[in-house]
Amino acid sequence: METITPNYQISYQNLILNIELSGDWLIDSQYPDDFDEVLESQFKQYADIKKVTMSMIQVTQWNSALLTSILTLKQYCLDYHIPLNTEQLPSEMIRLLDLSSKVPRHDVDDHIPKNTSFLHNVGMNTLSSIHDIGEVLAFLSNAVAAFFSMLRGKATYRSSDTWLVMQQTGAEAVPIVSLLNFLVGAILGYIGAMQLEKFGAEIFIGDMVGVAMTREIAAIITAIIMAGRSGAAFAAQLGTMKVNEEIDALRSMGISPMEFLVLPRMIGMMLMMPLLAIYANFMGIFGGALVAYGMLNISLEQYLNVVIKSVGLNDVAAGVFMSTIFGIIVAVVGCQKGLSCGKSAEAVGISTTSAVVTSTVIIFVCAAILTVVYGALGI
Amino acid sequence: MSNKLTTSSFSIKECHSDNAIVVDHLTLTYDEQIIQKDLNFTVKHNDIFIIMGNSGSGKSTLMRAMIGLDRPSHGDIYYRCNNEYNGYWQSSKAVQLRMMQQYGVMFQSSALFSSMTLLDNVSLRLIETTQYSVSRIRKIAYYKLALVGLKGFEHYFPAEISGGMQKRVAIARAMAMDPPILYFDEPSAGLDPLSSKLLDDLLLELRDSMGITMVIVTHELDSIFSIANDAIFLDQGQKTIIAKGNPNAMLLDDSHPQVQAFLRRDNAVLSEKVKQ
Repeated sequence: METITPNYQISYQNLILNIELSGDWLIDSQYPDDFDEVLESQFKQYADIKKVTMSMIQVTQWNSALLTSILTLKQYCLDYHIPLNTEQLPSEMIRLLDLSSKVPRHDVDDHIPKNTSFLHNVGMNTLSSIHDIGEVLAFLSNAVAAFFSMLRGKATYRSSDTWLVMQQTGAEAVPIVSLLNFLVGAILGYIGAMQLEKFGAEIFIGDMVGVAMTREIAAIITAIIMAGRSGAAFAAQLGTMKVNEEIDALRSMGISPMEFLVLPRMIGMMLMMPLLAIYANFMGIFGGALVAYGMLNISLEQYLNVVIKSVGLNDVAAGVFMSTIFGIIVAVVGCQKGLSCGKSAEAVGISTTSAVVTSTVIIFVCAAILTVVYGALGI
Repeated sequence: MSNKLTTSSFSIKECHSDNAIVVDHLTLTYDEQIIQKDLNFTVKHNDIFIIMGNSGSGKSTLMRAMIGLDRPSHGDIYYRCNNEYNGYWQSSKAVQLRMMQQYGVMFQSSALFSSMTLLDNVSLRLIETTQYSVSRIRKIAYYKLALVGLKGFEHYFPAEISGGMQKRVAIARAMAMDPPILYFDEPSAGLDPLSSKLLDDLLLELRDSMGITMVIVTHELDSIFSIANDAIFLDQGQKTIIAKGNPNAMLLDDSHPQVQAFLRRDNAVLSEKVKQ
C-alpha cells in the first residue's frame, strides 16, 4: 500500500488558528520536520489568537511522531493561555495524549547533562586519580591485614583456590612468558651486538644480556604480561561477581571477600611471579645466546662463561624481589578494581581496563624507585 | 472458543486478515532434544495472548523462535507484511528485517543498555532504522517515556532506577517504532503485586489506545485472568499445547489436570491455609 505524503494547512480567521492535517503521518513517510517550528511562528505572528482548532479528518494513518507535534502544540497553547479544541481529534489519540501526562514530571535537576569546561574536567580527573590512589592504598592495607590473619590461621579462605590461581597465573602463563622474554633477550642481544662490535667487545654481550635480564627486564616484562593477562582476569571475574551480587552474598554469609577472594589471588601471584621471573631470566639469556652465536660467532660455552662470571646472586635476588613486589601489585590492583566495579556490563569493562593501566603504571614507577634504591645500597 | 487441541483443523489457511501471527507446525529443539512439537495457533489483532506453562516447558524458547532469535527445527511463524503473510524463517534477510519492524520485544531482565541513558535506550532503534531528524527522535523518545510514566527520568541510567521502572523503560523501548505487535517475556517477574497490577493496567491501556497485539509469556495468574483474551498452555510432559482459548474458559474445562493444577494453584494454597 502506498503512503500519502503528510501535509498541513494553517489558516487564521476571526482570531481562530485552524490547523488541518492530511495524509499518512507515519515513520516510513516524509515527516515534515518544520511543522513544530511553523506552529511556534504562528503564535509569535498572531498575538491575539483566542482559540486553536485542529482537524485530522483527512489524516489516513498516524503514529507517535504526530503525537509529539500535538504535544508541542498543547504546550504552546498552555504557554500563551489559549484554549486548544481537541474535539476533532480521534478518541485513541486523546487517550494517548492523556496517558502521557498522567504521571507528573519527576524533578531531575541533577541528571540534566551539563557542559563542563576543560579546566573543570582536568581538576575533576586529578581529584579522581588521587581518590583512586587512596583507595588502592586502603585496599592494600586491608589485604596485608588479611594476609596476617591467614598466617595466624584465622582467615576464611580455601587453599584449593590458591592452587587454582597458581595454575592459572603460573603454569598456564609459561608459553607467553617464554616467547616474550626470549624475544626481548634476543632484541637486547641484537642491539648490544651492533654496538659492541664497534669496540671489539663482542664477548661482553653475555654480560649485558645476563645482567639486564636478571636484575630488571625479565621481572618487568613478566609483570606486564601478568597485568594484561591475570590482573585483567581478576578484575573481570570479581567485577562480574559484583554485578551478579555474589560479593554481597558472601558478605551476607559473614565471609570477608578480602580473605575469600583476594587472598588466594594475592598469594598465588606472590608465589608464581618470582618463579616465572627466574624462568624468564633463562629464556632471555637463551635469546641473547642465539644472537651471539648467529651474529658474533660466540659459542654457547663462551657465552655462558661470561654470563656466569657477570651475573651474581645479588642480581638474581634483586630481580626476584622486584618480581614479588610486582606480583602483589598486579593482584591487589586487579582485585581492587574488580571489587570497586559498578553494577553494569560497561563498568566491568572499565574496571578491567583500569586494572591493566593502573598496574602497568605502578609497576614502572616501582621499578624506577627500586633501581635507585638498589644503586644506593650497592646491590 | 474451544480450549481443546485441534491440530487437525489447522492449516496455513489461518492466514487471513484477522490474524496478526500464525504459528504453523512449529517444533522446537535444544541440542537435538525436543522441547515442544507440532505447535499450531494464531494470535488475533488487538488480542492479549498469553503463553503459559510450568517452568521448563519451553515458553521462552517458543517466544525466542517467534521473534527470530532461535531457528525452530520444523515449521514457521507467519507475520502479515505488506498485505501478505510471510513465513519468518523461510524469508530472505531483507524480508526478515521488514518483519522485525512489526514487533517490539521486552525481555525478562529488561535488557536495557547500561551504558546509555533511558532516553538513548528508547532512541536507539529510531536513530538506526528511521529517517527522522534527531530532534524528532528525541521528542518521540521523551513521549514514549512519558507514556509509561517516566517523565523526568530521561537522563537517568538504568542502574539508577528500580526494577519496576526498568520494566517500564523496556516497554517504552519496545514501543519506540510503534510496532503493531509487542512481545513480553515474564513482564511481572520480580515485581511486587501492586507494581505488577500497575503494569497490567498499563498494558491494557496501551492495547486499547494504540491497538497493539500483545504476546505475553507469563505464569502470573493475576495477569492471566485480568488481561488475557486468548492463551495456550504448553505441557512439559506431552511436549505440546494441551489447551488453548480464553483462560477463564480453560478454568471450567477439567479435561486437563495439569492445566487445572496450574490455574487453580492459588486457590489450593488458600484452601490449605483455611484448613489449617
